[in-house]
Amino acid sequence: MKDTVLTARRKKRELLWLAGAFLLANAINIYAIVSYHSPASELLTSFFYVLTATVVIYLLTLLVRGCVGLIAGTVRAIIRKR
Amino acid sequence: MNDLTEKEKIDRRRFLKELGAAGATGLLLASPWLSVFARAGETHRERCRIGVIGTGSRGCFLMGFMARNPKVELAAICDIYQPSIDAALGIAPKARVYKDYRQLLDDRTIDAVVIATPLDRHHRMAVDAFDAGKDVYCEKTLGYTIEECYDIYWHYRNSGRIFFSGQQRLFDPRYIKVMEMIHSGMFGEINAVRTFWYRNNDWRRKVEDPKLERHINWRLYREYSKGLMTELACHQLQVGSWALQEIPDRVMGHGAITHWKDGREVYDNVHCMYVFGNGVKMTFDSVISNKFYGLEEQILGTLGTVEPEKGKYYFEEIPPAPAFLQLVNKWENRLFDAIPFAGTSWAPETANENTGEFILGERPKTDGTSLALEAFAEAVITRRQPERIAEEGYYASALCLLGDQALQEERTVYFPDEFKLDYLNHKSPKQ
Ligand SMILES: NC(=O)c1ccc[n+]([C@@H]2O[C@H](COP(=O)([O-])OP(=O)(O)OC[C@H]3O[C@@H](n4cnc5c(N)ncnc54)[C@H](O)[C@@H]3O)[C@@H](O)[C@H]2O)c1
Repeated sequence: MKDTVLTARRKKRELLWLAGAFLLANAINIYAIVSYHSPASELLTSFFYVLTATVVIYLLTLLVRGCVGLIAGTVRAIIRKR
Repeated sequence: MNDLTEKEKIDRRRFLKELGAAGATGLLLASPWLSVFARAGETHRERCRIGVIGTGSRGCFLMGFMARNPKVELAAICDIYQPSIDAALGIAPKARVYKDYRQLLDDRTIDAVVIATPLDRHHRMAVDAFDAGKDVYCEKTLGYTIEECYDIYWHYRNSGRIFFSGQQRLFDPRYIKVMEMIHSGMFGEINAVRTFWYRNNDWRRKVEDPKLERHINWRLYREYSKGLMTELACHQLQVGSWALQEIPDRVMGHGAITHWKDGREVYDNVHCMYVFGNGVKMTFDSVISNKFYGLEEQILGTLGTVEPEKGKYYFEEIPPAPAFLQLVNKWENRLFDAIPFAGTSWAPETANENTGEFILGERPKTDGTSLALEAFAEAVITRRQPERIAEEGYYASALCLLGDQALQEERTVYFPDEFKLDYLNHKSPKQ
């Protein structure tokens, strides 16, 4: 098996995506609290759900980015061959 | 034998301590007999000498608790069946053995008796015990007829002795706590109480010698027992009138043998409806050919429901699930509604399901029997009859016997005026 290297740049980028996912999950929670007229305390008490949602969103972005990367790589390879 | 764990002992101690602490006022209002423990701290050097009449299954169960109470000396036992005597001697090896309860009553060193014989013998034994100057803890149901119960009650009153009946729920911490909550109005107006006790067995005990059939399986024969009404309903009806602070004034119902047609004489399928003056109803249901629903007393208020056997209560209005879950649920429903073949994989409404709260904050552990016996010992030592305990026992017995009468006669039976005490909504013609 080949050694893989995670560059500092890559790590930073992933952390940014994770932070973005966390912000989005919080935004969803705030939107839900406002639209269901729920108490503001749910900003704290729903933290576990927000964390779970963060992970789900992050994994989704990973999947989408992976797919995009794969397609872009394939297209690039085809162009290069020609 | 039901051994008390260290944890249970601690819980009990904590419970007793809480009764003496601030906040006990509400508990004492709902369950005034608890005042019997007021002087428990001062009596730790004293002992009462108790004799047990009838050392079968219940008698031995009660002895197990009393043997561990340092304020009790199990001084004598009485039974007419050798295996029961042997079992009791296993618990109290030093107890004197009698085969005739009258000899035990003649024993002047005995302060009090616990009666745990079959139902048809309670009245004679209890009345003789009061006449002999003994305090009495008589297992439910007190008497075979309402006349017998009334007679026992008045013997107690005229003797000035201590009198308890085997209504252990009166000392069960979860019942005591929840009654305080009910009486404070937390569950709103109570308009119905549904009690039921379901089992799936024939209620028979193994009999080695056919000659002993009626002695061992006395519960199945009307000469000795009134079956499900006197054995099971007695406990649950008491819970209903405790919750409502009222005695129902009539009862109707139906009973039959629908499954266990094995020569028994008592019903295996009964349904009774008790009606209070204002139309509020309390039902008792018992079937012993299906156990799915177990036993419960469901106390139904306008604001909530109590299920004390489970040790739980439920409010009608429950807080909605967190907004986040509601939103996700809405999105998920929209998504899956759009796809005809897919069902929801995750339904956050389940978070909304009314699972209720534990009355004591945790699953119930004991049923009050050990505390009831401790209370009895305390009363015998301090010579103070706790308020209302005798009346609660009397009415629990009277109600189940009236229920049985309604089943037998297939008619509505009204609570007879001549058997009323000055208690709650009742006025006695005698007092
Ligand atoms: N409070 C409760 O939760 C509860 C539970 C179970 C039973 N009980 C009550 O306890 C009583 C006994 O029930 P049990 O299940 O132990 O029955 P059981 O048949 O196991 O025991 C009854 C005992 O009484 C003895 N006996 C009968 N006639 C006697 C006499 N003349 N003198 C002395 N002893 C005599 C029998 O030999 C037997 O040992 C019943 O009234 C029952 O309703 C109450």
